[in-house]
Amino acid sequence: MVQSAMRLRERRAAALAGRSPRAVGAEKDRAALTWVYAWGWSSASVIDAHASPGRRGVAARLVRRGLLAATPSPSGRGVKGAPAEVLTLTADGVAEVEAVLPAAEVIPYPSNADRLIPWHQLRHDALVQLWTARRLGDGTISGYVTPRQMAGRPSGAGEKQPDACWRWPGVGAVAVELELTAKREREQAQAALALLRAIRPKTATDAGGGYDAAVILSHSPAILDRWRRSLTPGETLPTYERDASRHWRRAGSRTVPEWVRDRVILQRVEL
Amino acid sequence: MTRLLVLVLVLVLTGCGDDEALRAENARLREALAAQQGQRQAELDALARAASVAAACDWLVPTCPASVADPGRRALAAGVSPGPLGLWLVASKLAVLLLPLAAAVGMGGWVWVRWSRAALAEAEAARALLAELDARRARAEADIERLRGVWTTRRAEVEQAQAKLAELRAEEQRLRDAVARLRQMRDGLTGL
Repeated sequence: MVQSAMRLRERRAAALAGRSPRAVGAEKDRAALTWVYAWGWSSASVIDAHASPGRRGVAARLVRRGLLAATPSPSGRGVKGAPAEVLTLTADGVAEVEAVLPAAEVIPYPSNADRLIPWHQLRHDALVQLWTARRLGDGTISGYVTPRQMAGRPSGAGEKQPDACWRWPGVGAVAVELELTAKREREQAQAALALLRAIRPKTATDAGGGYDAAVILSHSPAILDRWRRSLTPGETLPTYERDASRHWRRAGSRTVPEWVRDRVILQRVEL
Repeated sequence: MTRLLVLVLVLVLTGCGDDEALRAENARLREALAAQQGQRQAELDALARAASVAAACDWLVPTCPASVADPGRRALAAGVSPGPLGLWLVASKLAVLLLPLAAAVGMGGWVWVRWSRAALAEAEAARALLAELDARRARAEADIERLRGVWTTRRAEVEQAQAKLAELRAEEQRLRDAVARLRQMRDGLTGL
């Protein structure tokens, strides 16, 4: 009993690393608020996984302090993987974050963020956030860029905006795509071409896409198989354009390049 | 000659009165005449020989001392014709004169046969060898030119191959990097 108490004290001392418990708590709060600021919204489990791995309560504390606002999900706990409630920053929370952010990283945070929550893809976005937090926590990735942050940056024409961008040491900027629903033929081809544009390598005449590699995650073997066919080198992908009546029609085709082998990983995930 | 005429005249004028005496005198005179004729003939022969010697000595190139040639020269001047001996002497002189020439010619010929011909043959052989060497040199130069072309081609091929090898090595390295990167990513995605 005494030994376990001593070990617990040692672990706490190691976690504090010479800082006061208050300072550690403030750091966790700041990490949590910055996370919500970057993504626009988040969930308690994701915030805790990011700000305080292994210990819960940070999100709840910030809600109690009035820095985060909790909005119940319309689906409640009915959808596996989707949070029961969504947390957004309050005005005080925004002020707290922007007070410490460099000017270049300030992104206007909507005052009605709770009404801009994408409920239709809540599970999808929550999973992306959760895996980003976990990979960041275990050191697999060194940083990330959220769709909200990407929206404020210039990107190439026709390049797919991924669900997240991971800064992967030794790899570079990795576009992360989570596919939970199957796309129809045209959407699949357009998505594949947009992804290829986004990860195309730099050449003498082309600055390349915005990403060095892509990870396509899905729980569905069928969806992954469809992506695999779309990204097979030598495969022909149809291109589309809108006609005068705004209907899509086939305009031509593109061949999937060889380098796609080195730049795309299809990974099945468990939800 | 004059004495002989006087004797004949006395004989004619005196007649044959005293035959014995006359015959004896005649015989004596005949003997004297014959002796004088022999003496004259000997003198004429000597002069002819001397003339022959002088003619031979003075033929073409004076070759005899004056003590030898002068009597003959005087005989020639007096109208004595050289005898057959002169021809032999001229022939001998000619032979003596021609002998060194012949010897020189013979020696020259011998030398030519012995040395010059061999030297000429050697020169000819050397000339032929030079021509052959020239031909070989020309062939060698052509070969060198051809080999230089081949070398240039091979060199270009080697450089091309080296460039290709470098490309392949770069590609290999790129693929290794890509595989390592994909493996790293795959490992990083495990457990999602």
